[in-house]
Amino acid sequence: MRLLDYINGEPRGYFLPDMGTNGLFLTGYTAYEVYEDPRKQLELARVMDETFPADFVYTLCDGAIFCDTLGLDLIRPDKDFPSVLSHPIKNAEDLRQYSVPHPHRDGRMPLNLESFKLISADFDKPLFVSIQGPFTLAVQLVGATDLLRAIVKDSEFVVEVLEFTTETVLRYAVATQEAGARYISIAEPATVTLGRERFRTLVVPSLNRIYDELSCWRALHICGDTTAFLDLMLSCHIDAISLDQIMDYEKVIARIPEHIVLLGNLDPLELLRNSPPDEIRTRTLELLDKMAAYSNYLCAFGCNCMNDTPVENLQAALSAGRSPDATVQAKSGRGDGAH
Amino acid sequence: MHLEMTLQDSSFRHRLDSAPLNSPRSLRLEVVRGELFAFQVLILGDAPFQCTLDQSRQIDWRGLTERVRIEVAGADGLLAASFLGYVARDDGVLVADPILQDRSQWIADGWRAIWVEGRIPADSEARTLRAVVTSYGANGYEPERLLGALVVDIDVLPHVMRPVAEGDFKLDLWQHPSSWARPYGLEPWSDQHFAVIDTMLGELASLGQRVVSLVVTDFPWAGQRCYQVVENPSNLFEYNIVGVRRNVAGELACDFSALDRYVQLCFRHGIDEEIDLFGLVGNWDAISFGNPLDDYRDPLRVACFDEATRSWGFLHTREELREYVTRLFEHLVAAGLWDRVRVTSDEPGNVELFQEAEQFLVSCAGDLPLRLKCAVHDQEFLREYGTRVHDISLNTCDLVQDLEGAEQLRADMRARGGDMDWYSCCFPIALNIFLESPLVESRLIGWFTRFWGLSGFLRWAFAIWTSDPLADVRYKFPKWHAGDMLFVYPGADMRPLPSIRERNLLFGIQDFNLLADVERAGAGSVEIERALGGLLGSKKDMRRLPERQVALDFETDITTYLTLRNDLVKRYLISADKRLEMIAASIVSMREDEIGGYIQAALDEPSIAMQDIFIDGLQEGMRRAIERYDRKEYDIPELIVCADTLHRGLRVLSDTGVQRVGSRERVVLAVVEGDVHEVGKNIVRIMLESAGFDVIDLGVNRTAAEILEAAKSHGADVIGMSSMMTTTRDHMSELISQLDNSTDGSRPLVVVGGGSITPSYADEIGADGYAPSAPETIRLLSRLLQERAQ
Repeated sequence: MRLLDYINGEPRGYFLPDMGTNGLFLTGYTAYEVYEDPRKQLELARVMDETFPADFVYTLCDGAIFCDTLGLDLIRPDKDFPSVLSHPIKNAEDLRQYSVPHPHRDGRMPLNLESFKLISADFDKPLFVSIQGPFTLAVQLVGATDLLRAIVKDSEFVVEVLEFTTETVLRYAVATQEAGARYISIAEPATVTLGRERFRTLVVPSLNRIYDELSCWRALHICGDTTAFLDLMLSCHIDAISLDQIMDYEKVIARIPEHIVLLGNLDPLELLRNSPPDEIRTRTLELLDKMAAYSNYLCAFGCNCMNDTPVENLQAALSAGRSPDATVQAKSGRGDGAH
Repeated sequence: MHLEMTLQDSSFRHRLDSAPLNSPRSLRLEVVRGELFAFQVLILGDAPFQCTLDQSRQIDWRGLTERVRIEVAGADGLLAASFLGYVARDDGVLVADPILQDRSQWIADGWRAIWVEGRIPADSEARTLRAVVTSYGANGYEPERLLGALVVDIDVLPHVMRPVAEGDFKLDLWQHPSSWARPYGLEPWSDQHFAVIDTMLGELASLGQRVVSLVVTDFPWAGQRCYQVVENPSNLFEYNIVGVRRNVAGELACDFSALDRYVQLCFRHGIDEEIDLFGLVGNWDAISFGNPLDDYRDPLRVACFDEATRSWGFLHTREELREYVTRLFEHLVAAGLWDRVRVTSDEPGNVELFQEAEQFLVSCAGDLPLRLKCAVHDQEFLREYGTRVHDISLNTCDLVQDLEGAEQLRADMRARGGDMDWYSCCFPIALNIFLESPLVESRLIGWFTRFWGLSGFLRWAFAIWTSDPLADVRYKFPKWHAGDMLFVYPGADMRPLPSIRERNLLFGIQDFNLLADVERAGAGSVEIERALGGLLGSKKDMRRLPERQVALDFETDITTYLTLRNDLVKRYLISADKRLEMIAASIVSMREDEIGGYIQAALDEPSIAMQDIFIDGLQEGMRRAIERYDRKEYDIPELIVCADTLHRGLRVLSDTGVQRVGSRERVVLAVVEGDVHEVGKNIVRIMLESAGFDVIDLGVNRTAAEILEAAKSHGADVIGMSSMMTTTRDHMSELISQLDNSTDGSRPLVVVGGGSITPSYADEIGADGYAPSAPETIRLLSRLLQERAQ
């Protein structure tokens, strides 16, 4: 089944929530307690599904899995995602000290795969997994400023790093799909620092190399203002695309081909975290109304929601987005309109 | 289809059977105004394809096949792209040489080279230009799709190069106009022939040619014995430009109309410094090709039409020859040209014969001073006669055999009003223009000319062609080497097709003229000589080898020469205000290795104040870099390297003990504890520095205590903090509360930003301001500081 068919399966809105570490507050676990125990991942997935029923299930997002496996120095907050503290690869020689991790053998990767298996077996809903993209991983390995500097001064090194990161992501993505993921989204937030030509040469080929090895639903997410290279993002071999809350979706949706699903883009900070539930409900329905003419729209956040977002706020967004009443209103024009 | 594209400099010569060793996707050039320059694009398809240039919409006879179009855009539209043709070296390897006019080519396989050249106008105000080489692909009726792009950045030094016609370099390429008529089947000296001559002279003038070649007898180079070379023949016979007849009364009548027309054309093209007469002395090969003169040993052949018998013959006696030569000299005198005339001999080897001929010509000239000029490769002739001729050109071998002696000889000649230059011919192999020669050697002709203290260069042929030179220029190998006979090829439109050897020769002439300007501007000749010696090798190690060869050991990487040249230009030819401009331009064009030199040059200039270096140099450079970023001409990577260049400049100033005078607002920047997202903070830093703030960047993951300590020790006016995570942002609040408790009311301003921060959060924690972006940070700080000052 295509993603497009799935989100039009019932006469209501569908929702894919990109949660932060909110589940940790509900379960009381720390991030690493969950990462290192597939049963806790399953428990967290169940809690999240009960608390925030949506149309997809998910594990606690593990954006640091590659860097953790490669042994990079991380900050590991209890209730937030880990962050890379130092960036050890500064040249080709440094890079040669590292091997592409084996997903079934190295670091926590086997644990994650086990978690995907458990959750996908436990739910009927499709398992959504977000994976860091090759360019963003390269930024983690080299450091953002050093990698961007190398783009100008040492492009061969950049190419080498991207080959390494692409292979790393590719192997893990394929294993993730084999473990039961039905929807893999590659997050490439660091690419927003690039111009159009560099996005075309440094990012698109790597992403397509990965997407071409996947048969599940394939998505791309980039935060920030992506207006300049949206068409290049769409040239990737994807089934879905998800953009930042700063993008004007009324304009964006007109640029999205019918076969690609557009996700987004409720504001995680000002709306979801800082606004009252009624406001969230109203604004969610307004967005759905604007997207009503498009069968390839899927309600979602603009990015990870903040981990201290009140539960009732998230519930308000989800219930509005999936509400049959709201959906009837929202979808009344579906099939007419611009398409 | 997939297309690989890469860039090479103008001294790269592509072999058709090889791939480029490196494949840069960007290139940086540094040129002066008025300079002609070039680079090359190499392309490789993974399938046969038709390739077109610019906006050509030609299709191949094969139809709508795989097609690639290469377009060079930007750089103010100053650049033009051309395919290079491939011709065989003597070993059969095809190498790039002619610069073709075709806008479409079928490329079956392998790499191909495209030549891109341009000239910055003398009145251009541009400091940096960016050219983008874009490839588009199509097949059938599908619209073109973008395949790839390469970037060439061109830094323009604010010095205007004189046109080569006005430069110091004296170029003397011998002209063979009869040879130029043959590819087009034209009757010598016809109007059509002169149309071709006009274009050839135009091409020569573009190189800075100074000397007019006049062939004034028939077949003076019969000694080349072209009639013995059957394979891929070349007609090397040149005809007398003077029409000689004997009328029915038996009087000799000379038609100088073609000669006059030729000279006028040369003068119109600015080729007017010297007129060399060929064929009057030292002609070769009386033995094989014969001599029509019964009583004169030098084989001078003058065809003469006898109107009484309506038949062609030759002058046969010394007296007939005297009559002809006298008429010729008288005509040149009458035309006011005599002062420029040299009677020229090509490699005379027989001293006795030459002396005899000289006496004869002197007698023909009567009271007129006869100026002899010789291209010499015979040591005996040089010893016996070197001091008696007016001008001399020494072969490379004879020059390096005794460089000191040559220097003295030149000084003597100049004292007599003459001069000395040098030449290469079919020998030596080193430092030559053959297809097998490293292409850079064509350019280094100008450099060696300067190094050897000479005023110019001579070559025996600008364009002598084989029967189909675009297919094969090999001739008389191993005595001659492919490329020896020509710098240009015959174009289909009766215009010369230039070659990359010719262009590199021109580039070297430009270099020579610039070095002369540098010396004129005050650079010591010893300084220049020492610098050149570092690249071209020690003069004492240069020597002649057996078999007409030379030992030279010189650098072959053209970039080292251009770095030297441009450093000298910056030091001696760029005025004080332009030195600051160069500092700014070096930041915009990310020349980290060069900014130190520019700053040193500015420090050396007494009229430049330190503050000017900071404000009009460094700060101005970053301001322009940010302008480019705002216009989306630069991405963040460029902005980072621009800032690196700025910091390099600041370090140079710091290392030389220079401190910035005047007060500047000081900002301590940090990403808060637990957070390592650095990009946004780094862009803020770049923008603050470019706006003139003094920034102390503490980096990422900094505790409130560390930030406070730094703010205190540096006397910060502003603390800037960023956080991307809601779990870390409360460290901002922690810092502000400590700051309030520990100060006396003159506390630093605190501004915050980052993905997890909102204006309301900033208010809530008591920050003085919030900025959503780097440019907003500048505006925010300016406003806050102004408010506080009031």
